[in-house]
Amino acid sequence: MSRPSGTRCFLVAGVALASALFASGAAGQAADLTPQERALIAAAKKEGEVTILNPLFSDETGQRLSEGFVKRYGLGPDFKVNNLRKGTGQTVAQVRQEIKAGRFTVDILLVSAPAFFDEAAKRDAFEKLDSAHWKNHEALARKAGQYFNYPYVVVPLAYTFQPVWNISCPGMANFKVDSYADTIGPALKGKTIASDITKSITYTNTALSLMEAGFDMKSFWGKLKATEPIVEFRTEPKMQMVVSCERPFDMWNLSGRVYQNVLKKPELANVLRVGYYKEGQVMLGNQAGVLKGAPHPNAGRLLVEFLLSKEGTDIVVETEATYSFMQGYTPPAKAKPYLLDLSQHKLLGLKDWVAADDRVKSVRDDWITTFK
Amino acid sequence: MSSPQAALGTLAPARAPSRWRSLVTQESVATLAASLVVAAAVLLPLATLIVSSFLVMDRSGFDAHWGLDNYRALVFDRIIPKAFVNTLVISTGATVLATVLGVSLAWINARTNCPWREGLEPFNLIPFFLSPFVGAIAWHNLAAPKTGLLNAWARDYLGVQGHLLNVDNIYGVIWVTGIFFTPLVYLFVVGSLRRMDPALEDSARTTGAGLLRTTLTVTLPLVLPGILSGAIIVFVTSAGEFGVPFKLGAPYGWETLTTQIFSKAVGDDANHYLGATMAMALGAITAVFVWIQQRVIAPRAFTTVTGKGFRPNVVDLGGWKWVALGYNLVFILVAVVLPILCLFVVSLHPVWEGGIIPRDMSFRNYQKVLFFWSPDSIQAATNGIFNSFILAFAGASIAMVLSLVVSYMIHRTKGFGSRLLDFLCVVPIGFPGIVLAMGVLVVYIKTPIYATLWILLLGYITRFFPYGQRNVSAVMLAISEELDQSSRMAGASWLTTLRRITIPLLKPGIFAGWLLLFIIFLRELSISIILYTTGTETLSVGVYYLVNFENEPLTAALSIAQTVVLLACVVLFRRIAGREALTA
Repeated sequence: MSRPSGTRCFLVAGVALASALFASGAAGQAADLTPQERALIAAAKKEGEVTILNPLFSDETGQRLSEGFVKRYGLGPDFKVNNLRKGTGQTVAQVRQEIKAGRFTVDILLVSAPAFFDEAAKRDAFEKLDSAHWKNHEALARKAGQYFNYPYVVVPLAYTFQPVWNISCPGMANFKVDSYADTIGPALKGKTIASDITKSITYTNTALSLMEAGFDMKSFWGKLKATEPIVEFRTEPKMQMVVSCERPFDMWNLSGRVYQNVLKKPELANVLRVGYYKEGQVMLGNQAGVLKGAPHPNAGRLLVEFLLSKEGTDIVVETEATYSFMQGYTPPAKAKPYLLDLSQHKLLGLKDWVAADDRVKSVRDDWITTFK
Repeated sequence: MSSPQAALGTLAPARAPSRWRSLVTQESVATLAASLVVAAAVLLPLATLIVSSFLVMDRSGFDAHWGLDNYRALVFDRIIPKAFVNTLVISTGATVLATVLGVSLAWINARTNCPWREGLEPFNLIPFFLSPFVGAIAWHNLAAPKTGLLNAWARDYLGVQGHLLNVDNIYGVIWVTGIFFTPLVYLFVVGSLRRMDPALEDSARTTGAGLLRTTLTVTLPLVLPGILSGAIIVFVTSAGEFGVPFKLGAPYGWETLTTQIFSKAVGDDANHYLGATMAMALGAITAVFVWIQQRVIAPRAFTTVTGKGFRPNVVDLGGWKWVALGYNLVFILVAVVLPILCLFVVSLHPVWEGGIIPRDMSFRNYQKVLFFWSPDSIQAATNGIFNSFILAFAGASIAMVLSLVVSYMIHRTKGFGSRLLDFLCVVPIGFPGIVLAMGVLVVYIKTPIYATLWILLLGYITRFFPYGQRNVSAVMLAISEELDQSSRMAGASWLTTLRRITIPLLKPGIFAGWLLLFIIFLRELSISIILYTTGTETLSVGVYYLVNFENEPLTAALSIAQTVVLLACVVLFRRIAGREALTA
């Protein structure tokens, strides 16, 4: 066997270098990819797209998640991330319907609905995950009393409902909230919004958590009703009402919605305010699972990994001002003004998120009796 | 010589195949296929709804058992009975408003010397072509108590304390529904008024009756069947309307059956078995009214107003003609000009703070909802535009082919089949879109068409093809059957006759019907909202998405885009179909 000539050696070395460069480019070049992520990339790329159904991510979040996801794993410009946004109950209804029909259009469900995830998992509705990042979240999620069911269901993020108001509206200049008692004063008549708990799992769980902590929700509903509130449930239209002074105060909204409006018009930062409740902030973990039978299961698993990674978490926190259970996580500077320092606040949750489902009907009936 | 029996015996085997051959013709195959398609499309969803209404969902939402609990909920639930009452109140109120406006405007336009009445008519009809949902969004921005532009102006310039107008309640739903459905009554009445025999009114006038008395005692009773038909159609359409109560009613405590059905079908309080039961209740109400219109009132129209080409007297209103003109202009202002202007103003702001801020204005929102190539475009909006055009084009085309075959069967063939088809064509009109869509969803969820544009197409065609069929039938009735028969006698096949004789004669009706369906499909919401998923959003679903997940200015921008497209179609429709195309 003859030795390779100098030219041939040069060619082989060139091809090897080019291949290495190409391979590193194709893999997105994240040097910190875990073996689990690497194992999923090729199959995900072959699947070509992924659909996540959730009630939270704005179009901008969806766009940035898509760019970050494709870049991190080198999935190529043709790879498509579909961000499908519906209400909390609506997401659950669609997935339940698809599970029952055995016909799937979404890959990942991301929503705060512990009882649904528990029931669906019992029916073997989720793909098994093999996550490298989950171990960084599990301890804090457990400590915060959040529902998860690894290897089928994880909790990539959480949010909490906070009081939001507009000080530029008539009679609101000196308004401030740090207790539920502040939300039902006579001065607020005609200025409030009652969040429709019959259409939202997270509002219902917030009410249940407060009740479990000893708060008299039933009597509170009566006092809130006396302020003649508008009943609405989506956080975006409620935020629109606050911005336009149609209803300058919303007791349960997301600080992320304030942030998103400030991005559209920066001057709003001077007039929109976000408060907290000394009675406690209910942390609502959003569970995620990949549906068994989903059209793109590998891309689904990979996107869940991305949501649990530091890079994915940064994108979601920066665009939605949500919370992460990642150990030692520091949120991006941009989002910090909109996030509570959780160590300074009383946090509430439910002792048993799944069993709490038994009380959903009665708390909703109380609410309906008052508001409908 | 062979016996007759023997002769029959030898002939019989030869005749049997020829009898079968005579049955299996192009005509019979096409008509059978059309009947089966129509029957399947219409009856399957309704049958499924009936079955689903007897299933009771368990707490997990995954399992169900047979029972009557859903029907009990119709009576004993805290929200549903109120929604039922609200629906009746809204439908009644909207019907009264639309009838008063529609009849008076039709009379002004058809029978008086009101200045520029010819030019005003197209503007009176514009609301018919626009989306009532968009109208509700516009009126919310005009007359919400604190943030409505009209209220802001009333406070700033008239010194009004609080607010002058409030549409965020049941009265607002009635107002917007009423003004947007006014053209329906107008169209039912204006044709009768124009074709009325002047001798009837002349007799009254010569016996000493004044204008008012003649109008109230002669003119209006003569067009009563038209008024009642229009009123019933408005009642039924209002009961099935989803967009207006969704925007102006439900958030303010005024739920209707449609908002509740939506919530139960695919919404945030999902229990589609209960939704099916509510759909049955709503469908039953509307079906009864449609039956009354079709079987009791519509036939009377031909006995009170003659079909002769009369040109009735024009009533000289004297100085009152300017009042009539003002009345008509005010209608156009509140139903067309103000809503569109308001939406345009709101759409130019980055966020809507309840007032015009000139320094904030830009066209950036249009970039987000129209420019699909823009990185910050909103997919639900841009997808919606593409999908709506695809659905409108394909849907109108398929529906018109079906309409043609079905109309042919009804009017050119006799017997049970044609009567059955006639009945099947009335059924979808009797069931609101949201009801039919629920049935379609349940029937087809396990098939490959679920979550595709095909399921939307199926829903659209099933619900609306009778509109196209009505257009074709109207022209077909005016064409003598002898033309078809001559062609067939000359040896042309059924298909050739259809292609070379019938279709060319029906062209105006087919094209007018196609354009009407195209417009209806472009603004359709009730069916789309139940059947859409990611990637299959329509224009109206895009507007719904922006209402729920974005803000008023972006919603207004897409609403304006939809309105501009629809207005362009209206102009085209008038050019092609002519002035009388829609009148009853």
